[in-house]
Amino acid sequence: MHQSDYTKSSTLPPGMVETIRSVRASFLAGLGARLELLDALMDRAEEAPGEALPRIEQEAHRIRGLAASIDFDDLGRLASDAEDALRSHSETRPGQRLGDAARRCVEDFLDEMDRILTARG
Amino acid sequence: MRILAVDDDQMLLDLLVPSMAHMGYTDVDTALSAREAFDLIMNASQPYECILLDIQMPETDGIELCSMIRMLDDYKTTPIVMLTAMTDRAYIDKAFAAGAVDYITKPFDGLEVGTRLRIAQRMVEDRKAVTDKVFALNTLKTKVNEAYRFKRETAISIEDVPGVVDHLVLENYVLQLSRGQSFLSTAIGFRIVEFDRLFGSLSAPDLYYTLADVAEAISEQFRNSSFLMAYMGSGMYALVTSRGDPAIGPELQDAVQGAVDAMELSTEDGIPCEITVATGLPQTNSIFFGSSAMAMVHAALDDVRQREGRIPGFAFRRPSDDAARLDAHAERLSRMM
Repeated sequence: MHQSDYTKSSTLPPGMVETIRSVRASFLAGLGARLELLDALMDRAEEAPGEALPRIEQEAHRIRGLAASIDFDDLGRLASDAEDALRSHSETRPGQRLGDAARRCVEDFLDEMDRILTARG
Repeated sequence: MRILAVDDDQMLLDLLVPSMAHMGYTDVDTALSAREAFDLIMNASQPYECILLDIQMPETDGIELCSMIRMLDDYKTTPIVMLTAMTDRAYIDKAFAAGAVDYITKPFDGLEVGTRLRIAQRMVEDRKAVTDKVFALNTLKTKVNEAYRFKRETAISIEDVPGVVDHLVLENYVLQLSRGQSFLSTAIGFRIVEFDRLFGSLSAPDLYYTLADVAEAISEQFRNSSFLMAYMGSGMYALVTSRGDPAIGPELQDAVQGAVDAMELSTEDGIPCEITVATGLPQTNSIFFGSSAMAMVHAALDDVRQREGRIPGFAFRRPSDDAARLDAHAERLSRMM
């Protein structure tokens, strides 16, 4: 596993460690479906960026808020970069396709999700 | 502390609620949307004492929800703490402008949540201390009101006004006058016009202080005299002085009314209270009153009951006074002197 396995939570009360473990398990259980959705939205963004990109931004926002709390620090950071890039895009080029830099940010984010799923086996 | 946590991510709530429980905050409701949160708030049997709001939610976001909550009377000062993954300061500023008092940055750890909630709890406790003081003050006010409460016709004792005594003292005084002294005395009545309306509209303390102020306005006109006056109930006063007291004259009614007006009486809440005082004709004991020394006092009160003051009513000034009636009254007064 790429993340330091519960290193942060080791200082927490035992009950809290269990809570984090449980939420982390739920997150992992839904991660594959999330990735599928985001991949589909990225495809959709080629034809209808105005419809698909805000949904990707919303998913990135959610993962940004949660990931590091359940020890997925890298995923949280990449989600943060992706969300910022998508917001900046929507403010400067609303309704248009993603530029290369923003696309790279989103793809890095999705790659990290894929990497976590692969590592999980 | 009753807490409502609002976030559109169920997993975040699954993490947040136990985090709060570990910090001792176990009374927590959750909502996944602004709409659900608002329904919980509106249907809560007791107001929530602290609200955690995610800033970015679909449809109604946390900032808008914060503004809506602040419009509710029960939530004017409730600590609202924003949950945000946003690092953009503009979002935070907007949240504070909408009424948030603090924010927690996501991803959060349990320690930060605990710290923020303790700060919020201190705010709740400080506010409760103020509320308790206000409650104590209102309770005291109610007790004061009850202490001052009296019936319309009760001849309450007015304190600390020169020459003003309890009605029983006045009665004793008059009854103790020798027959000779009694004939050398005169009684005059004063009446607050439309006292019933005043009685019905003022609080008990306001009414007491109004009666005392009117007594003072009357007493002031007799400051160079040797007199006794008492409040006799139903808005009436009886004053006993020596016959031929120079204070009694055609100008007495205007002088009393002028003194009352100069006081610019108002209620405790600052609402102006316009009072009209009627002045009766002086009454003396004579063989027609038989043997009762109090007869002149009763006659004075009977007389003033028939009189209207400068204007017939308190609180409503007529555009023009009934000058003719007043002139006639003044003339009658001067004939009696």
